[in-house]
Amino acid sequence: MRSRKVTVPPQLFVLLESMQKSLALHQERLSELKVQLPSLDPATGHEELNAIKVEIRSSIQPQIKAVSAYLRQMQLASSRPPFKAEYLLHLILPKEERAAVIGDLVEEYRYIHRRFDRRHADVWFYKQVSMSVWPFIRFTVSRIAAFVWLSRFF
Amino acid sequence: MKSNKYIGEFEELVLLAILSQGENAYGVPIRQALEKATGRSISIGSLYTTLSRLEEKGLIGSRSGEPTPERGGRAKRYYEVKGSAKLLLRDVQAARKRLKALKPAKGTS
Repeated sequence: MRSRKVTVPPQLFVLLESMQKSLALHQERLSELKVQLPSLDPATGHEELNAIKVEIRSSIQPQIKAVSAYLRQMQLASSRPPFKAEYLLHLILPKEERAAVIGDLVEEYRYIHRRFDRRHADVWFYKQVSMSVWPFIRFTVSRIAAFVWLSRFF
Repeated sequence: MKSNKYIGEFEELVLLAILSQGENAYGVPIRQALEKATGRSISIGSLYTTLSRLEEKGLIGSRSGEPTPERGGRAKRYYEVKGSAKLLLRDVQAARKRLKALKPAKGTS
């Protein structure tokens, strides 16, 4: 099976590296305990194991939360609006307007996605596109009509 | 010196919204300022068609900003109100004041 090369963002790399170090530390302690266990009192061995368990949980849990928060942030930053609605705008907008209009909509879409959830963001996007189609078409038609009317005199 | 151009109600609101945003006047804050001020839902289509009309009339200018990842790599377009538009706004607001001050003639209700 061919392995796929994946680029990990630096911030995520640092978080994962610190998790790996914490786990390596606890793994060492667990290995030591494994060696000592046969000579230890069962109650003492149990206590040692519980202490390691609590330490692992308290050190790894915040790191797991940090990684989850970072991944969620990455997911929100790359969220895409509904494809068909975006494509419809792409078709009806003049070339010089596309970047500005669609960029504004994507910016607000991602803000709503972060604040609420994807469903609300999608509803907002569809509403904006449906309210905008007629003004854009009317604007283009009026330009064409003005051009046709003026060309009668030349 | 009075301007010989005319603007509609929505065009006037858009000019005021651009002025209120200063250096940061691009589509998103302009639209949000208009929604907040009017209490109405403003579509991006009606905003940009109005901005295009105002630019054709020579009342506003625009410049492109840098593309940003939060906009999917698309650039912002910043707008600024030209001097002639500020004069026009002043004239419109003065006309509104004069009309408000007019009293109905006696005998009409």
